[in-house]
Parts: sequence; C-alpha cells; structure tokens
Amino acid sequence: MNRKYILITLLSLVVFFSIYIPSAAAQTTFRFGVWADTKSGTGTLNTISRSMASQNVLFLFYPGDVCSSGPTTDCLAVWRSAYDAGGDLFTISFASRGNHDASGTSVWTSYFNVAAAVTKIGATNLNSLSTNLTYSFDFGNSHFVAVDMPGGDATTISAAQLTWLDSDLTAAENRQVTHSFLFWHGPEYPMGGHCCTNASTITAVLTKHPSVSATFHGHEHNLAYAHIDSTKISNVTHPYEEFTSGGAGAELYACQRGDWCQSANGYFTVDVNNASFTVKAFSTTGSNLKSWTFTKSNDNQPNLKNLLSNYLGTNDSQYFPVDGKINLLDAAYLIQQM
Amino acid sequence: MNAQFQTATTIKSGKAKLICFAGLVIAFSVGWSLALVFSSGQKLKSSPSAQAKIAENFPTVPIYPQSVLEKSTCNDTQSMLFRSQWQTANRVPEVMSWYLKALQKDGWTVEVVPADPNADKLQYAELTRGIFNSWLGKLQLSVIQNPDHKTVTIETSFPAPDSEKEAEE
Repeated sequence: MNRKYILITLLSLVVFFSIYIPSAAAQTTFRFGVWADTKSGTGTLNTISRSMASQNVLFLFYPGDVCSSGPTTDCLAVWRSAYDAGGDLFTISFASRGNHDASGTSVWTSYFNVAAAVTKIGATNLNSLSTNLTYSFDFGNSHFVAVDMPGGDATTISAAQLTWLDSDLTAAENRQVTHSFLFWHGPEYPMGGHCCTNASTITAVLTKHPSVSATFHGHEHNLAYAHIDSTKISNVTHPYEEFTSGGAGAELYACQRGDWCQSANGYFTVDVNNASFTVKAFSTTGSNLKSWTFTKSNDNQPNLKNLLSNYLGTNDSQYFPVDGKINLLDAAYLIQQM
Repeated sequence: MNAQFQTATTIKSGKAKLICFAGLVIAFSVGWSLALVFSSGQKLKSSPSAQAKIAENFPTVPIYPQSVLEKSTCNDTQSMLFRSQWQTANRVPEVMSWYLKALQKDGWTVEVVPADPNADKLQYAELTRGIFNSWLGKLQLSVIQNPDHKTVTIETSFPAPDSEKEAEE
C-alpha cells in the first residue's frame, strides 16, 4: 500500500515538473530587455533599473559604455549598485564593450561572467570568439549574439569577428532557430550622434542569414528604430529591424535619421512569441513610448537550398558551396539532418 | 670518327655534370640560407619601400615568414586607420602563436586573447602599445582559415582613437 502511494507521488512529481518547468530550449514565449550607455549617468540608471525590474524580463543585454573612462573596479561598483537598484539584474545580464569600455580589458573580462549567466537563465550552446567579450548562445527558439566593439563604431568590427559571426549564425540556423537577435555597441545604420557612415561589411554578412530578426545597439544616446532594407543600406537583400537603446543614463544626442527616434533616456523590452516578436520602448519611469510587432516569414525554416548554401561541414573536405557544385553525398547527408 | 664523337660526347657530358653540380650547390646554399633566416624567426619588417603594395605610412608590424601581401588600405572608413591582409599556407594556431610572441617582443601587450588557442578555423586577438587610445596604439589581429582549407588570411588593423570624444564635444 505504502509503495503504491510512493509511486503515485513520484509519478505526480514527474508530471508536475515536466509541465511547469519547461526547459529553455522548449520556450518560444519569453521577454528580455536591452539598455546601454550609462557612463556617469548612474542616477538615471538607478531609476531605470526600478522600471526594468518591474518588467519581469528573463535576461538583459547591455551593449556597451558602462563607465566614462574605462571599466575600473570603483566605477563598476558604482554602476552595478545603480544597475541592481530594482533587483538582481546583473547576474542575468549579458554585456559587451563599447568605446568607453576599451581601456580596461582585463577588468572587464574578470568582472563579467557570461558562462555563469548562461547557466543561470538556462541557455544553451554558448560559443565564444573571446571569453566574456564576443559570444553567443541559444535561448528558446532564438539565438543571441554579443560582439565586442571597443572601437565604438560598427565599422571597427574586425575580420575575425565578421567571419565568426557568419559561421556562428550558420550553425544556429542549422539548429533551426526562428530568430537571431544581435547586440553590439555602434549601430550599422547610425541614427543620431555618430551619423551617418553605414557599416555595409556587417550587413553583407547579416543579409545572408534569414534568422536575423533584429540588431540592438548603444553608442548613440537616444532611443531609435529603423527597418533596414536596401533603401537604407544598399547591400541588404534580407530586411531586418535595428534598434538603438543608448538611453541608460548618458547625456542625450539629437536624432538625425531613422524611422522613429526620441532623444530620451529609457530602454527596450522584447517579447518573443513563436515567429513573432514585439519590441516596446519605455521612458526612464516606464511609460510606454512606442511598440512594434514583427512576424517572421517562413523563409528561414530548414530547406535544402538553405542548408546546402550554408553547409561547411567536414563530411567531404572537397565540397565548398562557393564553387557552385553540389556533391550528392553531402546533399544526402543534409537531407538526413532535415 | 666514332671514337672522336664518343670523346666529344664524354667531354660535353662531363661539362654538363659539372654545371649541374655547381647549380645544385648554389641552389642548396641559397635554400639553406633562406631556411635559416625563416626558421630563426627573424622578422621582416613592413615598410613602404619593402612592400610595393603596402599603404603609405602603414605602421611597422612583424610580417609572418613567407606570407604574401594581398591588400593594404589606409583610412578606408572614418574609424579604421589602416588595414592589411596577408596570405600564408600555415595553420591558424601556429600563425596566431607566432604573432603574439613577435608582437610582444616589439612592445605590444596582449589585451584580448583568443578564446581557444587551438581553434583551427579562426582566432582573434587585440593588442595595445604605448599610451592607451593613442595614435596607432591599438592593433586588431585576425587569423582566419580560408574556404580552401589550405591557406590562411592574416589581417592586421588599426582602429582610430576613440571617436566618441568628437561627438561629445
């Protein structure tokens, strides 16, 4: 009799946990936040933190410019105190460097712990080009990439970072992610403050990857949005969305172009809901300034053409997509993976 | 007649052997000297006079032995001062390891180390020299395996000093 009750209890627990504690890999509905550029504006960050904490975000991205003159231990302590004013946000955060973070590389790499944050939020497939600087991971149906940009402008991205980004997105797409969300300091389409040289070397890579849904940046101290297509940057054949979220405390810059721009402090949240995602802009105190909802078309679903054109596996070292020839053995291998 | 022909042939054959032998000795000497130069890790410094295609005023950095300059640009964007690309037939980990040693000997400090020093597809490092954010004080080093899996691209680039200062002013 006792054994029966124990068995029933155990079974109930298994059912409970499998229903109520889904893994990150299974999640297709979740929320994350984006903010950047505090520098000396920790008072404003303190207020924004309280607002951000009330949004119930699962994790956060901070694409650059923590302190004014490099990340010293003292400055980071002040920044973190403001950052966590609304609750423990730091340990679920993924930061990447901007130009004002450039001088303290060793301080930065020991202060931020991407692997710990990945574990804490239950993300998978952590991949790093340089530890705690340029990295990516998967969460739910989405892929997240942070690129170190100590030069500030997006045009300072290195050849290795570009190549890594390309292969990292290819690998994510082969894992059949629905969205890729990308984060680095300077926007490839600047909209105010560092306007207006486009980083077409980056868009040449992004446009190859249909999973790219949106990029998020700082560098320009305002809140801004642009739909990036060939009318904005000529080499873009796969349109995507670009947001600048540089309003986490730093002095504001004037808007110069874009589809929407406010010279205001604040932040963005992103709600991912299967193939759709909704981006909301908030003021310092949490007033909703603007919302956008986007739905991905089916073009990044696995298909033979997509797989073959991105395939760079080791199955046949003589096979390269660039030569226009398809090895049937490789095609068979890829079909098997579909 | 036949004997004379044979003698002449023997003499010609002897001369040819001598020329071949001398040629071999010269080729061996030159090859050995070159091998000694490269195996000792001696750096070939880039300079406008030494490299016909290198951009004018390109900063002096070590050049990987037997690498070939592919392109070199000056101020190709507002925020990147110089870039150069070289090709070599060696492997990514060996090239990166050589560069990190050679650059540190030249006074550069490694700021960003490659996440995986054994990665054979690509590796990235950043180095600084002199006063932080000074003119040409930062070097980005990318070592990337080419799609042919046989050659490697080496890119050295020098970003401009902090471009934000101008915007703030």
